[in-house]
Amino acid sequence: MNHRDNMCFKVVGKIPQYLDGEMSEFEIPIFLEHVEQCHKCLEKYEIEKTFKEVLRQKCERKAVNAQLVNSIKNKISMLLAKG
Amino acid sequence: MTETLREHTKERNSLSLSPEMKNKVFEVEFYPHMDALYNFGFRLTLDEDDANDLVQETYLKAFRFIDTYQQNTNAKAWLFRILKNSFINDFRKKTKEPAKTDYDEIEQVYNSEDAHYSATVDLRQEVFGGILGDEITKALNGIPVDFRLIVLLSDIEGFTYEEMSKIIGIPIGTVRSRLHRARNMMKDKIKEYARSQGYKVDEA
Repeated sequence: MNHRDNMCFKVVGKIPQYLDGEMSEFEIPIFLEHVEQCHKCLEKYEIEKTFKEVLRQKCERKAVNAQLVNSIKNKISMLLAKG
Repeated sequence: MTETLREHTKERNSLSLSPEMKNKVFEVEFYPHMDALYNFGFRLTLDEDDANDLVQETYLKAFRFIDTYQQNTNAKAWLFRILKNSFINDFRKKTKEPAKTDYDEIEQVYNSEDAHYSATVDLRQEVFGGILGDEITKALNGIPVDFRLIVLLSDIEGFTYEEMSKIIGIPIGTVRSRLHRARNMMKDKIKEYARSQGYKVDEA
């Protein structure tokens, strides 16, 4: 494995960490510099990014219904009143 | 929560919260997460009634264990942990799914350094753009529950690895590898679907 392949290997493995906001500030510039210059890594990066974004968008968020909110708040109030 | 832990905590905070203080914790810290908890419950059970039950159970347990909660810390993660535990208990009872499958073994394989390439599914962006209507939710619903759980916590709720480690009760390294595995499982499902729809899907 030559130096460049080795770098690609490392960068691809770190894509999730970067997208999940778990990369250290020291690693970020090195990571981004490589991704910007390497077509293969950029493509993999874009795919991961799209995947994460689409997942977030397509899983429509369900909201709790008012009836349940009231029922829970009433129950907790009663429990609090009992002390 | 074990008896001893509860006793220990009671001893530590020998002054239990007054009803007024408890009420304030509920109003300020617990109630604002009700929608997120419901969404999480629904995504886990895919059933509105089950999700309602889980949310209600979570708040009743929050009341019971409120003395173990440290005010102004991470209420959302604390509540999610309660809901997740209730869900896992009910789920194991209902499905009689073994408490632990071979996930740890799978995770070890995926932890190994050279797993990246073979495990990475190559999906072109146009495939995502074109097919991802309900398919992504189907893919999410189609993976085993421990994996679905971690994708929901990370990608839908935006918890950090450290928070997920606390909610699920696994080390951060396992969070990272399980998440990686879960996303690849989903991509496999999407890839299958894309192929069935006539998209050209590259083999990694």
